[in-house]
Amino acid sequence: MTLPALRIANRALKVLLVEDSATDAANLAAGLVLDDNRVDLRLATTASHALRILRRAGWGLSDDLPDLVVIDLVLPDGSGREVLDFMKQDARLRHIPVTVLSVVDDAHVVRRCYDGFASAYLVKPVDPDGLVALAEQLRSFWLNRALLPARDSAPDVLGTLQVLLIEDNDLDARLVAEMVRDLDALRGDGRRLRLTWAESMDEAFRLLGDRTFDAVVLDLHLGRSVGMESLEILRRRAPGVPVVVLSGTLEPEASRRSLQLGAQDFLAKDDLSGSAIARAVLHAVERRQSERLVRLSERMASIGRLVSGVAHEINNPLSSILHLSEDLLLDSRSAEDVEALELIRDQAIRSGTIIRRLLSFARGSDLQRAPVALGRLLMSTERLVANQVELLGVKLSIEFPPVDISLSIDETSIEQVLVNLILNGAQAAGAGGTVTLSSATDRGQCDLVVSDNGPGIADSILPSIFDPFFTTKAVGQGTGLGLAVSLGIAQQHGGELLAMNRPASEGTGARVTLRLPCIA
Amino acid sequence: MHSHGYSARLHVLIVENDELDSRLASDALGRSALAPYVHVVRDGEEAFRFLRAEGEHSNAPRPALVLLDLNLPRIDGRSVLAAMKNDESLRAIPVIVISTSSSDRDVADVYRLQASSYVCKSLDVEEFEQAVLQVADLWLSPARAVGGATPATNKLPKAPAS
Repeated sequence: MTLPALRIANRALKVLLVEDSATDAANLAAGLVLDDNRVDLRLATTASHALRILRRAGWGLSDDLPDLVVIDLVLPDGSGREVLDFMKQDARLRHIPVTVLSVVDDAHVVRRCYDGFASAYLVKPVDPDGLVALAEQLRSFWLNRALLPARDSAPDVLGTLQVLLIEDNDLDARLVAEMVRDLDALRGDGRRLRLTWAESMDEAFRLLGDRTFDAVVLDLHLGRSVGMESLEILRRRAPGVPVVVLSGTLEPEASRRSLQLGAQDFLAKDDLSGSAIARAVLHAVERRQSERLVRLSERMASIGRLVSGVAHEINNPLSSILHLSEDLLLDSRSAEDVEALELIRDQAIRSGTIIRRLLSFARGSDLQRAPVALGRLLMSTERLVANQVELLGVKLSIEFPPVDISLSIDETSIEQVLVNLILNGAQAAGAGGTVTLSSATDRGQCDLVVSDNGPGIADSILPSIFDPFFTTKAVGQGTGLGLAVSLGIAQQHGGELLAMNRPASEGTGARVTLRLPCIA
Repeated sequence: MHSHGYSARLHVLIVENDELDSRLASDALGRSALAPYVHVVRDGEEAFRFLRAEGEHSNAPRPALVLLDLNLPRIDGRSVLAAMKNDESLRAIPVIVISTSSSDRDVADVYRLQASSYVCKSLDVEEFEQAVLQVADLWLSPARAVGGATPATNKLPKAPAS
């Protein structure tokens, strides 16, 4: 027999606290939540607020399913008993232990709560310190002593499409949730839909501000902002996210208008099924992606033409500057002159380097591809950057794959990309930070992932970071070509370069993925 | 009827086949602030006789808390739990499952059957005692009148604690 591992140890204990008194809630939170992030506390101040959170969690429409619910018995809009009864009658919620907390110290009330399957009934101490101490006791017991049921397997696996459902009708939302849940996996490629439900446009914008969604499913007949208006607002405020419109019936006019306003698809509720929703969402996502790629490559082509023209024009005067300054340095000169001439020469060399990179970026210089073992690539990359990273005071951690695979690549240019990504990460992380290079192989693709624990990439610049000459560094610190050239190299390999921020749960920092096709 | 003989002290029923474990648990309870009366039964059938005050347990008091092992001879812990929670007169007694198993399945089953909590028996004796003490603190504190009734037998299930 081995010592039991407490299931809760590896993740935060999710507690839903239903408490209308702000003072009591603050004292309870003080005892429950310490700064170790082991308790994730959500507060509901009324019974209906709690029911809304629980209903949504129970339907699989959010990740808010709590591990433990702590309920005040007396709430402004009803009794904590209603929340308890609701939970114990719902097959998806009834396993969650509910601790009732109340000033009522009456054996009949206590008995009734236990009859309703409360896990515990605790009488609220009247003094604030007592309340904090009680919360600490609860925390200690549920975190360190009790075993809780394992949660469903992690929802945010790669390949999950995050879909925001904007729907003001409870029953319709539930219907959509059930349809989607019944779908095992989409088209056999293992991708899944994960729905998050917003009841209003306001809530939808809050969610869209908090996290990234792959698509939005929008009910056209939302209470306040009726019809096309809500679609227009959505398209304006979240232009990057594809929208599938839901409507009561199939109205050709509404359908035409929705598509005109930029919706990707139109579905009638009369004729709804899980696979129809999934198909529409997938198509919307894919259409969006290919539109973006086409736009990107058109832009790249025009920039490329411009760049190679300019580069040639500048190259000649630049080589004159370089050669003449070198000639002048051959004669004996004052120290000041030598210093100035050396600066001129060095800057000319630097400019020449930029021009060469520009040309290779614009031309897409030829690659010499050969099979290279992933392990070897990681090792040689490490050798190349170790010194520079160390100079920045940053720790470089390379995770070698358990099983080595072979990639068909131009080793030098891929190394160049990785070095570039690692140095970017190291600069972002700053002294004392960490940059990690890891790999993951899945379905014929190899992801080389560089993450850092710096401040991450601001959302406002995320769309521009691959643009040539875009840089956040001070003038003279960077050319703004690193990521654009890297993207070019990735694309020449039939791969991609993806930049995002690490999920909030893992802390701050950027994560850039070089995705390459691998060979068996 | 022994009701006044029990005074205000609470009763805890330990349903545990392993003698060492039951002794550890009752020692820990004895040291808790409330020092409840501890009763130990060895199998599921005996647990029912105690809870229903039948046979050799005809004078049994109504416990304020049950500590239940899952692996019991005759009737196992799961069935005891399920039967208690289906019995209107017994449903209100909180049940803490104490088991050596930490399997996901057991844990999930037990919460679905409405146990109040699930505590894994630790090999570390002190840790086990700590766990029992914490259970006593949360489920037996005087201000937290537990289980519906205290000194009465189950024939007077609703006698309020004073």
